[in-house]
Amino acid sequence: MTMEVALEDNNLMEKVLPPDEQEIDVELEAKEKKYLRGEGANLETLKDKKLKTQLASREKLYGKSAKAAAKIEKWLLPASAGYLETDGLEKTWRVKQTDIAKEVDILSSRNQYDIVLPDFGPYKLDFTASGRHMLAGGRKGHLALVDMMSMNLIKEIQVRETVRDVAFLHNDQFFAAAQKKYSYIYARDGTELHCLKERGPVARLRFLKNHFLLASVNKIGQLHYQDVTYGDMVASIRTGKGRTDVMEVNPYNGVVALGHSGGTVTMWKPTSQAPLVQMQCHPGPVSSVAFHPNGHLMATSGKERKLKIWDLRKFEEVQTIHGFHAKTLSFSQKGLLAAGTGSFVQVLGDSSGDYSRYMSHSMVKGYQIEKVMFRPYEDVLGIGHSMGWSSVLIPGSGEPNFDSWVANPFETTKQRREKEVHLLLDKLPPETIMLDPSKIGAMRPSRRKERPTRGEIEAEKEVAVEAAKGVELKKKTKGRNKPSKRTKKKKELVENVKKTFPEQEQGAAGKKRRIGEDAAADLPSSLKRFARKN
Amino acid sequence: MQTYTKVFLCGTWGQYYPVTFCISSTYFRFKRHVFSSQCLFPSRGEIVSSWTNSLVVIYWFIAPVWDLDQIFDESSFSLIGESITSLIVEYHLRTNRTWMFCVVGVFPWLVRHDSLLSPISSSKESLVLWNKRRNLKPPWLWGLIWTSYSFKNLIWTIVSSLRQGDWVTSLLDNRRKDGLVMRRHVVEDDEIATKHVISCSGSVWNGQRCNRWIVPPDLLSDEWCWITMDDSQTQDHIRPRTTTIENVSESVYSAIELGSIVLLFLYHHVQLKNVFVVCFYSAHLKQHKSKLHHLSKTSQSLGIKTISRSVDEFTRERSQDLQRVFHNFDPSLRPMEKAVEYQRALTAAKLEKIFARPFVGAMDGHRDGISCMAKNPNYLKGIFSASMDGDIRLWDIATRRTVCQFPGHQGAVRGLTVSTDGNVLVSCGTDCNVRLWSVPRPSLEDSDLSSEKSTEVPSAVYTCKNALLAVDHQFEGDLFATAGAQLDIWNHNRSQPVQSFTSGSHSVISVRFNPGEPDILATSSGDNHISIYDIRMSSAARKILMRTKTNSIAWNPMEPMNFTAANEDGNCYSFDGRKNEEAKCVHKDHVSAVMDIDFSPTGREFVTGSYDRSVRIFPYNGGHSREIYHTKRMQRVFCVKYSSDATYVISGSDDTNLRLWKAKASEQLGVILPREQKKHEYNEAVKNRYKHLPEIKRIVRHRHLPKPIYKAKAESRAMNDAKRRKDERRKAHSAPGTVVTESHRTRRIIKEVE
Repeated sequence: MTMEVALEDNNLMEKVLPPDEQEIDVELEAKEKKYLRGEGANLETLKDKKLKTQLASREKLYGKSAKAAAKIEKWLLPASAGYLETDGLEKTWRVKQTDIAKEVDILSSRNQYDIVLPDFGPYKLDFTASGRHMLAGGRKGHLALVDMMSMNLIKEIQVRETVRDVAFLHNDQFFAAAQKKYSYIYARDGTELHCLKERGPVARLRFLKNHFLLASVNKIGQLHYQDVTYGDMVASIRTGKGRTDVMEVNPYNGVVALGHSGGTVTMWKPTSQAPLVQMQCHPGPVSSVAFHPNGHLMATSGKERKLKIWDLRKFEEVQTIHGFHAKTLSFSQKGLLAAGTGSFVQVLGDSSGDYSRYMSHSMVKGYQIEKVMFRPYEDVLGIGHSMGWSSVLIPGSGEPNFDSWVANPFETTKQRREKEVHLLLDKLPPETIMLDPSKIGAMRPSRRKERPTRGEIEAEKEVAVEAAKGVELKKKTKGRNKPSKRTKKKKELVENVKKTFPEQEQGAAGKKRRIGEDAAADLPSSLKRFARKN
Repeated sequence: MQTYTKVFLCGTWGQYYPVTFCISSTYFRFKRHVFSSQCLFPSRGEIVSSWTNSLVVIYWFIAPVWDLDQIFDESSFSLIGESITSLIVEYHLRTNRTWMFCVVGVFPWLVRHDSLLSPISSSKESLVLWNKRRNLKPPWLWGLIWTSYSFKNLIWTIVSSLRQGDWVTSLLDNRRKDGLVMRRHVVEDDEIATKHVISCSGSVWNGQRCNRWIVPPDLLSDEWCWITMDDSQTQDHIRPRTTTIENVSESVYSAIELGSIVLLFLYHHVQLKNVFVVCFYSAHLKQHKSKLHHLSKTSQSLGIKTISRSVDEFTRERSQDLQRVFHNFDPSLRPMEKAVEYQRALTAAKLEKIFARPFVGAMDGHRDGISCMAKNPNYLKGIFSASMDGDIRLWDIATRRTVCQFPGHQGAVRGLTVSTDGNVLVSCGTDCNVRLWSVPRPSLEDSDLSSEKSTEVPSAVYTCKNALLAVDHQFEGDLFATAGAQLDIWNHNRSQPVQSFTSGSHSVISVRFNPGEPDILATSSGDNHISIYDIRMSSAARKILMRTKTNSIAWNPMEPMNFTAANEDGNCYSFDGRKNEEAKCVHKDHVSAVMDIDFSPTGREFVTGSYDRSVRIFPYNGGHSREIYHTKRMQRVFCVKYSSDATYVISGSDDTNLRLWKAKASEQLGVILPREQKKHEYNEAVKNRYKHLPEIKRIVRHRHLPKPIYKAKAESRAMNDAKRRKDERRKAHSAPGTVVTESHRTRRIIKEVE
């Protein structure tokens, strides 16, 4: 007996993995889930055996590739994410940029600088998808294209008129600037390529990378989508909400969000004239909007000094942060949220589910921050302000590992050209902009009409009958207006209404009553002979 | 950007410890080499690596440790163990200007390499005792580092002794060997090694200041810590350069995290402006451990790491190299990936349509309609064809020319087959003759067989009473069967059939031997029968009576119990030869009689030729064709063949031409690069993934049909629908069970006889 117990114990011991391996397994499983991109299909309900096996093998394949990807993430990625940790009482938001500068290596500390250009500010910034190039547009007409890796100024031009916004197109070769009257597209060397007159004086410009659409909202609140590959104006939408300069693109699905002075945030797609969503986010004007890269979170800030985080899957408010009016908001790749106001930048992190203070940075008093934007694939926050632009280190904000085929900071000319061709081949039509992009490439579920339940029909009938009873009859000429006639008419009306609702079968769930089964007794005598003999 | 060489070595005093050695330089043309501990512990005095061709020589040896208590005497020293770790690194730059040479170890005296400027032949021999040569008594007894390198014809030497608290820097001019300059810093006895390093380096470096030491935070967490040093000459905008030694040493990050005792660090700038060697060594880690710990604590109050990428690590080293590619499969980096994938599938489907050019060429030469064809099992490029006027030709498919003609038949040739070894061609025709021909063999120098057209004479002519309609040769044997008024089995060498089978008054139309069982064959006859014979028996083993005639039969070469029959009603029926009561699959698409059928050697597909002037390719288990081939000029197709490599389809038709088609219409012919291959596979995969979606389905399925076929199809569809409706109604209005709908698979079969 004791021997058996011991044996069992041994078996148990064999099954239990050492704690290290267990830990790794749990970690890998969590990662696998990310790469599986959602639940697999429920194959149990399928009746078609052939299809079931085919799908099962497909699911198996997905599982395998997710496992491989998880392992690659665990073991093979060259770099790990940045972090800022303090021990004990020290708080992360007390760490100054100067403190960071002391601790980090030279390459990183090069990313801390202020460029002082007092004459042309305030500056708007934009980064390319790889974070290699930065475009700065000063309000007074100064456009500068900077290579952030070598810190070289590639080109700067002075357009001699107001520049309201700047945006890179699909790579660093082209950029668009919203100027006083029209917006323009420039090449990398500063050549003006196009003047986009159709859209009028544009307040904000955004480029939808997957769709090659240049979206803009102009001074009279019109939203324009222009295809930059062949210049077609895909959509021009009158928002009817007045002038706005709050505009952001949800990177997850390409939906454009506008913030309005009434406190609403509306979301738009080019294929419909009506907004997809209207949300009342703030009581007062919305001052800025930002989207989390996973597309599920939206941050809005209002003039009433509140910053709100919204869950876009439920369109619900997740969190409100009081006492903070952000002129500009930006989410980083790792989900940090930077909010700039006045000469102060607050960076919020979601370490414990809620967004809370992570870091802060104060500029010289009097600098007015115009735009904050995280540099992709770097732990760097770019700040455009009234006196030029600055760059500060925010450890843990950027994705440490880039993918050469997605966005490569070390891209060569040849690679860039090839990438451009592939981007154009994979260009999505404007119809693919929708709130839930996972619906693309899925089958539409069969639209079988749901039959209303009996209770619903009854209720509907009752309502209709009541409505019929309440109808005021016209006064008719003499003789036809007798009370008897009037009651008759009313009854008829009610009957007619009742007729439109088919009679419900009485008895067991609409089953056809077979002649003679149990009701043979109550049949008329003439029919009794047809009754089934038991 | 800077390029530099790092040599890093760490070990533990008195015992063997894993040692990491690392060189990274673009200049020296090799990447990082991290040796495992095994390879760094060879037997004593052995050379680990010698890259003289690639300009770097690395020696590793374990020298004996001498008894330290013994006062040194030239003749008397004893070995107490193998505890000295030594490393010699020599770089022969192309310019022949720089050599480096380092030895780290514990010596009661100094050793040095004598032949700095000549290649090191054996490390052990080349080590000579320093004081033997110099007659100097070493001022240190314990914990020495001796480093030497030459730069601009100077030999720089760093010597240190912790025990005595001395760091000695000596500068030795190579030209003037007697001149010895020493600089000395007195340090506290128990001070920490890193500080020594800095002060040492600062003093050595010829007036240049060491800016700072950086320990990459990545590595701090590791057991082994790497130290890199940044050149002070690079522009540093943020911070003023450290000017004094004290400042420098303060900004040093502790390298003590290392847990290692012996540490050698070399820094080499590639521009050769400042060759720089730094060594430090601590022999008493255990004593200092608490202090080290304390130091690491104070200097590490903030845990900060930021992303920093050096260009070297992410770009290729030379223009001949491939570009480096990094992957991150995180879905969040690829927004809208499903939409993009769908778009790619759509593009792939469209591209497939664009590149669908199946027609390769026509082989013109016959003067009458092609009646039959035969593949040469021995030779991929050859195909035999015969026409209604008695002409038999051998074609070279690659050049699409006639290679050889076989004249002799008087009337139409109706059957053609080649023996399995490819030597004998058998033909038969309506002139009641069976002719055997020997097949010309392609010679090596004339591999394409197309130099000149030749004619052959039959090797044998056998005559029988009736016209012959088909012939097929046995697999693995020398029997062949002819079909006519009866089924005859012939031997190559006999002028009379060895066996005959008769059945009824109708003639046998086609005959096909089973590829698996050599004695089994299937025939079809004019009285709508499909019969399976075993030639060892006297009558048919099994018979299926169909409603219409079967024109041809093909066995599946991969599943030889299954065969497919091409029927007069425009359908093909796949049967399991063991179970004939119903067809396994009915392949519908042709609108007129199917004249011939041939399986792909893979057994997954077969090709059919039809009287409706089209050729179709069906999957072996699918009800509808995946491909239709037709041209304006192609007339009734009488015979089709799948090529033996499954890439081509050949059809012979009434318009006297053989036509060569690709089996996959959009396949790229010729040599395909691996990247192209991958792209094709990817396209295939995405198409397969989204094949059920209406847009892609429509594009993939669409085929242009000739008007007569299109009309006939619509007509037959209308007829079938009407019939189906009628049947349904009849069924609905009859007593249940009286009207039975027959499935398609049994509808055309009248009966089945065992």
